[in-house]
Amino acid sequence: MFRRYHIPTASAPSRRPWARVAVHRDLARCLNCGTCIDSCLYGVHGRRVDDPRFMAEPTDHLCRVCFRCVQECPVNALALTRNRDFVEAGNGLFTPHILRTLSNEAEGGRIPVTGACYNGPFGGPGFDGIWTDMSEIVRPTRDGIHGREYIATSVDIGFRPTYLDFSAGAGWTPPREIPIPMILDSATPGTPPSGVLASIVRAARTLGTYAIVPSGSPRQILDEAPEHVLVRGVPGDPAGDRRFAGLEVTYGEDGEDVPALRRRFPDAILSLRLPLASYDPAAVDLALDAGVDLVHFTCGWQEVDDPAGMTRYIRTLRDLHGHLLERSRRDSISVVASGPIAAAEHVPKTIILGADLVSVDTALYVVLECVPPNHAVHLGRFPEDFPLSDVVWGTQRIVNLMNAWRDQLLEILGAMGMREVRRLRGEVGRAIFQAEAEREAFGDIRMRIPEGAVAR
Amino acid sequence: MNRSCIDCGICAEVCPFGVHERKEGFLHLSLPKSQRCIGEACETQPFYCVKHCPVDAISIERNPLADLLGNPRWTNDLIMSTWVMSETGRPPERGLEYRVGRAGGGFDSLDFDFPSPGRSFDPPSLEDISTAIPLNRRGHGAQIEIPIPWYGGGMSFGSVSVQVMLARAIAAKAWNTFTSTGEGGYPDELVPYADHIITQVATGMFGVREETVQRARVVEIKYAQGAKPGLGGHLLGDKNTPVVAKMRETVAGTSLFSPFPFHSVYSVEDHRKHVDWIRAMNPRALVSAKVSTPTDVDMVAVGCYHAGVNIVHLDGGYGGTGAAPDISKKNIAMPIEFAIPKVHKFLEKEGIRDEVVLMASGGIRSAWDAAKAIALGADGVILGTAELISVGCVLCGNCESGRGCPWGITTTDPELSELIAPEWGAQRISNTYRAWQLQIREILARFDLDSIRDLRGRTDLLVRDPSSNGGLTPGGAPKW
Repeated sequence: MFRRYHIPTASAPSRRPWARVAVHRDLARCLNCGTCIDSCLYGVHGRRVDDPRFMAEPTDHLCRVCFRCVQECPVNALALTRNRDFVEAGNGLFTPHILRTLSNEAEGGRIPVTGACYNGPFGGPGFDGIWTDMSEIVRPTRDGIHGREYIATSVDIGFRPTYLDFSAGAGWTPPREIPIPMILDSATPGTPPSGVLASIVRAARTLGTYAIVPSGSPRQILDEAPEHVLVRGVPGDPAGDRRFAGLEVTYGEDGEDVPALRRRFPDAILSLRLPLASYDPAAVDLALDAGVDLVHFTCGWQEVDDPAGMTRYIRTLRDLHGHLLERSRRDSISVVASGPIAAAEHVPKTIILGADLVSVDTALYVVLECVPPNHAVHLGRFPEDFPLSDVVWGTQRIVNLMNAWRDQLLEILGAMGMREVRRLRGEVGRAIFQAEAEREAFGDIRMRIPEGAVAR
Repeated sequence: MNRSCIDCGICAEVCPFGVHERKEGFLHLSLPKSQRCIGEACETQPFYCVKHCPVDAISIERNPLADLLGNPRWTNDLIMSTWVMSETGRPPERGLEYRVGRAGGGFDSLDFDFPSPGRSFDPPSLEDISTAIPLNRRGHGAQIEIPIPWYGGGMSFGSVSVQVMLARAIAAKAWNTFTSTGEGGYPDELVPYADHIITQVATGMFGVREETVQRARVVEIKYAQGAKPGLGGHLLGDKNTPVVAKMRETVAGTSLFSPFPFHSVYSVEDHRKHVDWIRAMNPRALVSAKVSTPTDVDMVAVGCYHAGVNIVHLDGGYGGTGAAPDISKKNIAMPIEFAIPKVHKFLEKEGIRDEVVLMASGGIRSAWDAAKAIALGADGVILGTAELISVGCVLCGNCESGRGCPWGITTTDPELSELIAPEWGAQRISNTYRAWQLQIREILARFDLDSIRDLRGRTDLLVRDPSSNGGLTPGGAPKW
């Protein structure tokens, strides 16, 4: 019987919810009249439990910045200011807004839905300068994502034949398929605490996808769900154990052993990690010729923290995809991209740029709250402990996040009228690039002369 | 005002703006009305209250709330300017940037290339400049003209209150223009204004009955909306209140996601039949097709022409909404600034531009955006968010869930929706229209144009700013 893919979401509240603003009550002015309780629809204000004559501290993270309490306080006792911790959190890639969105997505696994117009800048560098297209009338999906037709989000890992050969003796192994175009990656300079690793591995099992974990991970973590684990690092025991789904080595570090690895583990998923800094078409050729299943194109978040770095990443990803096309071997290998994947929208955009799927790394640590809110994201420092009980919470946080991302991917595909995410790969014609669109739309409009000679 | 205040009342006597007041019979002064204070500009004035206070009780500082208001596109200045316009009927006289935002692209990277330095005009001399546009350029059918180049866009009953809809209807009637019902049906309260109400036929088909189609002079078929192209209307469960459920013939408390597209329209030929169906019910009505802005928006527009519509209404990606997934708002389809010239030029090339009325919406924030949209090739514009801000919206973006809007605008909660009085709202919207008309006329006067129609497609009157970078951080996204 057909079992429709389902991701079990459940509430996993943030332990450190993000507060965009600080709500200040001037106790010298406050009359404790309680008008603010009536003004606020969101429960920010209340009376003190121990002494209901007085107002309690406002609950900052519930504030939706509507200003109503400020305006309606009869003695101007209330004020709102930006929360410094929020403003200073993160970096150019993981902005405060993105950090907060990740946290919200991990809480309930829902698509973020808000009122009013988009409230960000017009476009921007990198992913921000790419819009996805939609199809107004010609659409294969009836009812979009809510109807009977099914939008497939599954992708294949490794070689896909372009035709089937039924002649005698022609064996064929179907490609490995995962139900969502995301794998999880514990990529980090150090070794995360076992609780963090366990959350990642269990989440991969729940989602039916893979998790990349270091070969030095504790045995019981690796043994939890070996069929969902890709072991990263120099193979030797326990990576030599053929129970694991696969292994990943890094180009330039142990890359020359790749053909030997392929021979040693003919049935495992073999992934070649290809950092942006050492990208070389020769690496791609090596992967193709060795029969590698996955090329994992990646970088550290520091390398894409600015427009130039992001542009370089995108160009290189397109080059990688293009190189495989030129060698007429695009479907011999799957390309998984990671590094700048910080938000749900990056999944379809990365696939449009040429990847088959994405790998999620730093975002996992954000939702596991390994990141103090006022530090740049994930500098390899983890909480002192991540006790076993937290693994249930941690696993659910990651599962929720991936559900939210999967549902948002469906929104994008549904808008395009696309029935499967595989068809999105490399479909730059279905994207609108800001620079091109601006040239086309404004090309005949004169540029302003910089010296201010243009009269106003 | 600090605790040194002795309630002497000198500040109330000197301030010409009414910031300070002692009500009759009161001992103490009222709290200062800070919103009337002109701030730094007063420091050199003889009536500067800070200098007059005998006990130094007064201090003036920038309101930190101003920093929390708005975003790169709808900046705090643009929001506050709209409030000033809706209060006074004129653009702000000082201190507020009312012409552009800080979005770093689109309208904010375009400016008008005026031929001479700014001159000021007396309003009466601008009255001869026509701001009227036709809504039908085909040779047949009702020749409806509106005196200002905009009408109100669809905001459904359910996403907004009937009080707000009435305010819009009263203003539309006063200005002899239109406002659209949106997807959620045609409340009976609007029937007295029927000549100025556009009935919207959307994919949810809420409230679409023969009588609602037949009483309208313009019928708008909403195929898509800019904020969430490829998706249908969203009304989340709590906002589906009993009155809304009754209008929409659904079950109260359930979330309503309208289908996409129309179940009956999967081709241009189907679109033609759709238009014919409307015309069979109401032969006199003009028909508008509201579409979003995909890559092939020019083909869509041509298709709409061949399907027989009078108005092609493009709704750009950055338009407002009562509820939409954030990913759709940001990422799907192009901003209106790119769609307008694409469609305008394509229709010109096809030789049909002058049979189609091209209306643009999706983030038209000011009279300047409207003028730029027309200079890019639109005949006119359609407004949504700008009208809500006119009745007090602060753009907090909490419209979509629970009881809805804390200010009573985007809600049908019985208690909250009482906060907006229709007559007051109508006057606010009307004042904004007046301020915008004034600004449009000034723009036209500076180019020696005597009609808004002469501005259409005049990209030669625009310049673009190559380096506008609305406050972006090095990483590309703003710190927000």
